Formats: sequence, structure tokens, C-alpha cells
Amino acid sequence: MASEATNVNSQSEAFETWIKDQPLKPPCAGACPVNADIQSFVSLVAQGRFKESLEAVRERCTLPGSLGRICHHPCEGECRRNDVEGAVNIRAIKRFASDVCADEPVSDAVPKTRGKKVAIIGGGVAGLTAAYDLAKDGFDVTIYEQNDACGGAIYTGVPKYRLPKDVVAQDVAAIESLGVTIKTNTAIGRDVAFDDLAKDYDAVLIAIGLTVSRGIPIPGHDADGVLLALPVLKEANFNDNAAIGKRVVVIGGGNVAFDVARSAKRMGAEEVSLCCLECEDEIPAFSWELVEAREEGIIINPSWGPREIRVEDGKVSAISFKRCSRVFDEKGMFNPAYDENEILGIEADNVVFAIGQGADMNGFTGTSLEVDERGRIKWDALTLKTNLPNVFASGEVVTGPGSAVAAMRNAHHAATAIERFLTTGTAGAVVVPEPLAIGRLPRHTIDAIVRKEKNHVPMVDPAERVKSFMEAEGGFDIDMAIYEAGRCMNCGRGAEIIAEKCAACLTCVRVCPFGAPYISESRVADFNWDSCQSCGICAAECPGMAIHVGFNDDTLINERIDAATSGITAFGCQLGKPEIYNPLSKATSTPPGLNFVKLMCASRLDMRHILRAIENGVDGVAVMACPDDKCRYRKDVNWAEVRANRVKRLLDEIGIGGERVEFMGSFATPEEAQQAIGAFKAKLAELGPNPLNKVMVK
Amino acid sequence: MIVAEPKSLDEIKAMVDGYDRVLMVGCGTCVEVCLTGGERSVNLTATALRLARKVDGRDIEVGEQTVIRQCDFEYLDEVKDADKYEAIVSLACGVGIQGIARKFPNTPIFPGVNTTFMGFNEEYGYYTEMCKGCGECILHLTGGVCPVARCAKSLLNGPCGGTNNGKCEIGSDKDCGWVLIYNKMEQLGTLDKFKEINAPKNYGKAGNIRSMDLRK
Ligand SMILES: Cc1cc2nc3c(=O)[nH]c(=O)nc-3n(C[C@H](O)[C@H](O)[C@H](O)COP(=O)(O)OP(=O)(O)OC[C@H]3O[C@@H](n4cnc5c(N)ncnc54)[C@H](O)[C@@H]3O)c2cc1C
Ligand code: SF4
Ligand code: SF4
Ligand code: SF4
Ligand code: SF4
Repeated sequence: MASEATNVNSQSEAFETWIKDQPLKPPCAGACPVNADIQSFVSLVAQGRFKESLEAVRERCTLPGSLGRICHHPCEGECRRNDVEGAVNIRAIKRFASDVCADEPVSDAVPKTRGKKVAIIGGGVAGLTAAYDLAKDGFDVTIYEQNDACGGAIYTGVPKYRLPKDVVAQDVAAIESLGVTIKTNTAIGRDVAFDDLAKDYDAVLIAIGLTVSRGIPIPGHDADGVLLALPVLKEANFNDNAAIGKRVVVIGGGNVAFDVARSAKRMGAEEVSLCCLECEDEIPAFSWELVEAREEGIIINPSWGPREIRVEDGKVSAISFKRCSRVFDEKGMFNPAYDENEILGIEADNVVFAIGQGADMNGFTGTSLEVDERGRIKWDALTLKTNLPNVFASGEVVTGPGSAVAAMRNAHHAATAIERFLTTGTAGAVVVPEPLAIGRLPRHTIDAIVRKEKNHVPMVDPAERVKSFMEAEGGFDIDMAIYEAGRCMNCGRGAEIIAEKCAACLTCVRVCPFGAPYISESRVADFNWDSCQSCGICAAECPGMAIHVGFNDDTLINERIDAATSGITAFGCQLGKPEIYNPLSKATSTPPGLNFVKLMCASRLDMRHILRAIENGVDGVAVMACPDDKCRYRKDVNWAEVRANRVKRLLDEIGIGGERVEFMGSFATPEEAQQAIGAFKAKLAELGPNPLNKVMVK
Repeated sequence: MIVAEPKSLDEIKAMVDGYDRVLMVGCGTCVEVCLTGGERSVNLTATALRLARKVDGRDIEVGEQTVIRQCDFEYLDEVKDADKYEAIVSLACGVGIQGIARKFPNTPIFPGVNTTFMGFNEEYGYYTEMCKGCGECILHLTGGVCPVARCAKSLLNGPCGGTNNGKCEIGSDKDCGWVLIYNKMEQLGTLDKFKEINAPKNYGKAGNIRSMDLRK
């Protein structure tokens, strides 16, 4: 008997079609620059289906372990749970999915069915992402990377305490496993000529990022001890004995500056100051970087502009700053103004410029690739094309600095552009419609939602973490991850009316805990998706069977019911744990002879579902529902129990016997579940086979 | 709306005992609203019947259909393939059941529900009788509370001696209709009218074989 625990989401064709036609998407996915299907991967973790979750992440977020650590997670900012008690910790869930599957075998190579070759210059975030998409599409992809490994800025720049290098390697390996050829230590311009590449390949993607740190030519800038951000970070990342002076001043207020300052601390600096033009509120680095840097003892000096580096014996001894009175002018343009009367002097052994990066275009000078007067690649943001017919560019080299996930988004577009070019022979604009997000939770719905406090990831104590480059942030354990994933409210995949079947009876309006259904002007029920939580209570009560629940559609549920014609079929909440979790295989399995049909909530259970299972020939039906304090849906009625009791009465009348249906509540541990199922089995054995069957299958 | 309650499965099973192919037809109006005769009820009842017969070792084919109203011929036109079945079980109120019986004069028709009363939809799954269809409405005299339907004895002048702390003598879970009337009239400030004797009603108007003709 097939008793695989099946997903409650995007696994059926009917569902896929349905969801595609839905105009409204959850706001998390809309805020995610790569529009990751957050709801699905979160929901899969909630069900203990980690491998599938990871695959769902990777589909759009191609470097799950890395981005699970360093993504600035704009999704969480838009999560509708913010209005309840805090966003779902989406990033940590993604990291969990990646970490828990670290030892899983990588995927099989995708057959190269397209007969076309693509070269990608630069194995950073953008290059890897485009490689993933194109390889999945069946192209023969080769990445040329000048470093000894791929990853780009997240490999060489992002410090190890935020992103261990083996995590980057794990992400890269997964992409390589699709059949992507990776040529490391191969620089275009030095080892391979660009023009040759453009000739040898059907298409080329330039994704060389911004690899050169800039300085400011203030007096003393060329003294010994004046450093640039990226080389310092590289040293910190790859030299286990990396050292720096006792007193370090970092110039800059972006994330790179904070990475440098915090790395300097870990390289042994005793006094680290970070000085930037911007005032405290304008500091461009992420807010949490400021908090964590201060915890680590870094002194942040906002509103100071570098003036002069004092040099003694050719070596830096101090640096002075002038007060910066404003960074942007009235027009919002970068145009700092200073007050030269206010000066700050700091003694220093090292000064590090962390004020920005530029592209290294050396490998392309004198080639057929055209650049503008400022040396930037001539590039069309819509078609992602350069001046050459088969050469495209993507990532920060063309978009300018931003986040990793933004580079990823651009690379998905580049892959689309290349795919289209290689398919049709012409390049075209890549237009990606922004998904329309459903609205915020109405007050009455917020009031009805069960509070579930957000799980935060553990952080190593500041005093401890500055001692080394050990990873500062921890991950979720299995229980934390499942709990946190269970906080997602499945926004926008809820109830939908089949208008011609609705009798406007008001049942849905009356049973919904969240105030989502209403009788519309056209005098049939309609559902406010801002409120609907996809629990399915209404659908199982509607007398006209006029309600379709996206995440929990009847066709899908029936398919799962039909998987069993003997033994026990159990119905329960997707978050319940009747299955046995096996930490070694990182997979879940259900006890033999048990067909577990997962529902969004046990309240989705329809009397018809139970009868269908019985009619299929199973000997018994177990109904499992979380206790009220565990249920994520506020309900005044335990609907699963009510419906189980109704079916019991009906089965008595039918002559099959109500004892074949058992309401079991839920279980704290898989062992408990097994025990209860064992007892039920014994009872069923006594009852003998389902009278609809002749032979009882043990 | 018209309220009906499901018949027991045993009863339905006994009714169709002589048939192997029956069509179960629901009604998508009143009885659907009171959760007794809509598509869901048809499906559940049909499944239950099928299973019960299987247990007895005799299969039965049960077709399922639900129309908008069974009390209109035009909607009954939607019932398809009735000739493929030996009998019809209707889950409409008595009106609809008779409608379908007229529509298919050669097919035996069985009621799948007991039609009970004209009632108010109080809340999910809970209905109360409000009107007897007496043909001579006096709600204006009784504070908008019907004594015919809500007094156990249909007294036109009450309460009787059995009234007991606001409850009816037939059961402490039943409100005394006349106390309801009194309270409502007190609220309306029309208690002076309460003392007036209501004239006997012409119960002939509640008699049988009633019809209405608005065609003139
Ligand atoms: C220090 C630092 C910290 C950051 N922290 C974060 C963060 O916390 N969160 C976040 O979202 N983003 C962060 N970013 C930004 C993020 O890393 C970038 O957005 C992203 O890496 C850009 O991707 P890319 O592919 O365009 O460029 P890159 O990732 O830089 O990749 C370019 C690749 O091209 C290779 N290359 C260049 N020239 C050649 C050549 N001629 N031949 C062959 N290969 C070549 C390079 O070696 C490199 O591997 C950070 C960036 C830095 C520098
Ligand atoms: S609750 Fe879930 S679906 Fe809704 S916005 Fe948050 S993560 Fe997205
Ligand atoms: S429960 Fe069904 S029939 Fe009743 S109003 Fe809601 S959708 Fe319409
Ligand atoms: S699915 Fe649940 S939340 Fe949505 S309308 Fe139905 S009862 Fe309400
Ligand atoms: S047949 Fe009966 S239940 Fe159906 S609409 Fe007519 S009166 Fe109402």
C-alpha cells in the first residue's frame, strides 16, 4: 500500500493550474526579489518534508545555505504575521532546510538536450544562478571563474563568521551536480581571451561582479597601513593567521565596512572604530549589523568625513575627520557638506577604506565588448544584452552594488533572456510581472488568530564570538524549525466560491473563525482572502459543496484517500506527527499499514472523506486533531471530532459499525501515535475485516 | 424557509428495498439552507445507502443530482436520465417531492426527508418554527410573535394556566409564546392592547386543498 506522507500543497496538477490563475499571491513572495515560493517551502518544513522543501527553495533561491545565512530577507518585512506577533522566520527556515539536508546526495545531472553551449564568466551569485537555470533547461553550461572556487563576493568577501565557506561549497556543489562544468583558476583576459569565448559558445554571460575596492585620495592615502576592504576580507577569509594592527579605523557605513570592522576585531584588533559620512539614521548597513557590531565593542562614529591620514616613518599613525553636516542635498543627490571647524582625530595602526567597489574590466580591454565613457559595459537592462549579439551581462557588474538576492533576480532574468535567444535566435525584453499581493490582515482577523511567538535563532555571546571566526549565528533544530514553519498562515491560498452552487445559506459565514466569508452583492458567498487562513472548515460544512480550498482541494485529498484499500486511513493536521521521524535519513515515514492523509487542518476533514476511505475498503479510520491549545486555527468547535462522531452514527446505521472510526486527538511523540494506532489495530482485528471486504489485511 | 429533517437510513433503505437503481435528487433552496437536502446531503445519503446495501450483499446504483428548486417544473427539467432509474428518492420538502412525482408520473418517488416546519435560521444548524401558514395573519395584534406557531395550544388569547416562569408546560426548554408576546408588547408600550380579546380565527383558511390565483 502506498502510504507516503504527501504534501498538502503544490503537488497536483489541478492545484498548480488553480494557483497559477490566482491573481493574488502572499506578500512574502512578492517582496522576495526572486519571488521564491516561500509558502510552499515553509509548509514543507512544517510537514517534516525537508528535502522537498530544499528543492522548492532552490528553484528560485539557488544558493539556499548561503542565502539562508546572509540574505537581508525582505520577505519577512512583508510577512502578514508581522501584524500578529512577528514575521515568520523565513530565512532561518530556509537555512534549516539546507543544513538538515547537508549530507543528502546531490542531484543527478540534467541531460543536455538543447544542443547549445553557454559560457558564464564569473562564478559568483549571478553566474551560479544563471548556470542553475540554464542547466535545468538542458543547456551545456561552463563557468569560468578566476578564483580557486566559485561563490564570488559571498566566497571571498562575506566573512566566515557570517557564512562558513563549506556552506558556499555545498551550494556550489549542488549546482555543479546538474552537469555544469566549472573551470576555476581561469580568468578571462588572462587565461582565456574573451573574443575566443564569444566565438566558441552559442551565448556568453558576463557576471564578473564588483571585485575592486576603491579608496579616497586624501593626504596620506598611500601610506603603509592604509588598506582596502576586499583584500582585508580576503585575508581574513583565507589566511588562518591573518593579523591586523591593534587600532583600526574603518571608513564607510555600508555592510562591507561593518564586515571589515567586525573581522578586524576577530583578527586581533583591540580598538576598532567605524567612521562614516551618514548620520546614525542614514547608515546604509542593515540595522542588525549596527546592533551586532556595537555588541562586539566596535565604536561607530557617524557624520564624519575623512580629512587626512597622519603618517609617521611612512606608516599610518592617525587619521582625522571633519564633521559631515549632510550627505544628500535637497535633490536627494549624494553631495556631502562639511564643517571644517569640527575635527575628530583617532590614532590608528591601520586605516581601511570600505567605501565601495568597482568592476575589474582589465580582461576585456581591447576586445569587441563595448564600454561607455566611464568604462562600464554597454548594457540594456531589459534584454540584458551587451553590444555583441550573443553576449549578455548580469549581476552587480551591470546593476551596481546591491544584495545577493537582487543579483540572483537579475541572473534569473539573464537566463530567461539567453534561453529565449538560443531558442528563437533573437533577444527580447524580459518582462516579469510583479505579483499582486493580498492585503494586510484585517483587525477582526488578527484578533482571531492564535498567538504563536516567533522563534529566534540563537546567537553566540558577543564576548565569545569575537575571539574567532566561528559562525556567530546558530540555526534551528528540528522542533524549532517545524514550530516556526507552522506559524505561516498560508496567505492567499484559501477558500474560493463556486458561485453557481452557492445557496447563500450563510453556513460558511457562521462557521469561519476568521470572518472571511461574506454574502456579496451578487447574493452568493465570497471570501475575503485578506482574512482567510485556508483552514477548510467552511468547505467541509457547505451544503452545496460550493467552496474550493486552494491548498486543500478535494481532488487532492481524494487522491490521497484512494491510496489505501486496506489497513487504516488516518486523517490529521499537516503539522501532526503520527509518522516516525528518522533523523538519520532525514525523512519521515508512516507506520506500515497506515495511510496518513494530511490536511491543512483536521477541521478540513469532511464526512465524505471518511466514508470514501471506508468505501475503498480500509478497516478503520483514525481521526487525529491537535488539542485546542496547539491548533493554529482558533475554533470554538472541534470540527474533526464532530464530523467523526457524525460518521460513527451513520456507520452504525449502515451496518458497518461506528467503532471503525476513532477520534484520537493528537500526539506529543511518534511513539505515542504508534501506541494509539497499535491499540486501534488490535481493536479492528477483533472486529474483523471491513464488511465491505472479504479478507482482512493485517 | 421550509425546514426538513433527514429520514433515517433504515427507513430509506426499506423504501427502496425492491430496487437496484435509484436516483437521489436534492433541492438547492430551503432544504439546502437547513443542511438537509443539498448536494452534500445527497452525496452523503447516497453513499450511505450504497454502503448499507453492500453490507447486505446487494449492490445498488444510486445516481446523484441536485436542482435549484424541486417546486418548479422548469427546474425539474434539469433532472436528467431519470428513465435510467427504477425509482427516485427526493431530498426536497414535501412540495418538491410531489413536484418530482408529477414530473415523472411513471416512476415511484420516495421521500428522503421529513418536512417539519416553516422556520427561522437561528444559527449554524439550528432552526425554530415560526409560522403555521394559518391564512389569516395576526402578527400585528401579538407583538410580532405568532401565537399559532409558538404557543403549544395555538391559543389566540393567552397565556394559559400552564405558563411557568416564562416556559411552556409542555417542556421547560420551550418558551411560552404568550410570555414572549407579553414581553414584546410591554417593550412596544402597547400592553393596553394585550387585554383586548382576539377574535376567533377562521381556521377554514388553514384548511386543505388551498391554492392561490394571481393571474387575473
Ligand atoms: C563584503 C561583502 C559582504 C556582503 N554581504 C552581503 C550580505 O550580507 N547579504 C547580501 O545579500 N549581499 C551581500 N553582499 C553582496 C553580494 O555578495 C553581491 O550582491 C553578490 O555577490 C553579487 O553577485 P555577482 O555575481 O554580481 O558578483 P560576484 O558575486 O562578486 O561574482 C563575480 C565573480 O566573477 C569572478 N570574476 C571577475 N572577473 C573575472 C574574470 N575576468 N574571469 C573570471 N572570473 C572573473 C569573480 O572572481 C567572482 O567570483 C556582500 C558583498 C560584499 C563584497
Ligand atoms: S504568513 Fe506565510 S504566506 Fe503569509 S506572508 Fe508570512 S510567510 Fe508568507
Ligand atoms: S456555505 Fe456554501 S452554500 Fe452556504 S453561503 Fe457559504 S458557499 Fe454558499
Ligand atoms: S477556509 Fe477557513 S479561514 Fe478560509 S473562509 Fe473557510 S473557514 Fe474561513
Ligand atoms: S421544493 Fe421545498 S425545499 Fe425546495 S425550494 Fe421548494 S419549497 Fe423549498
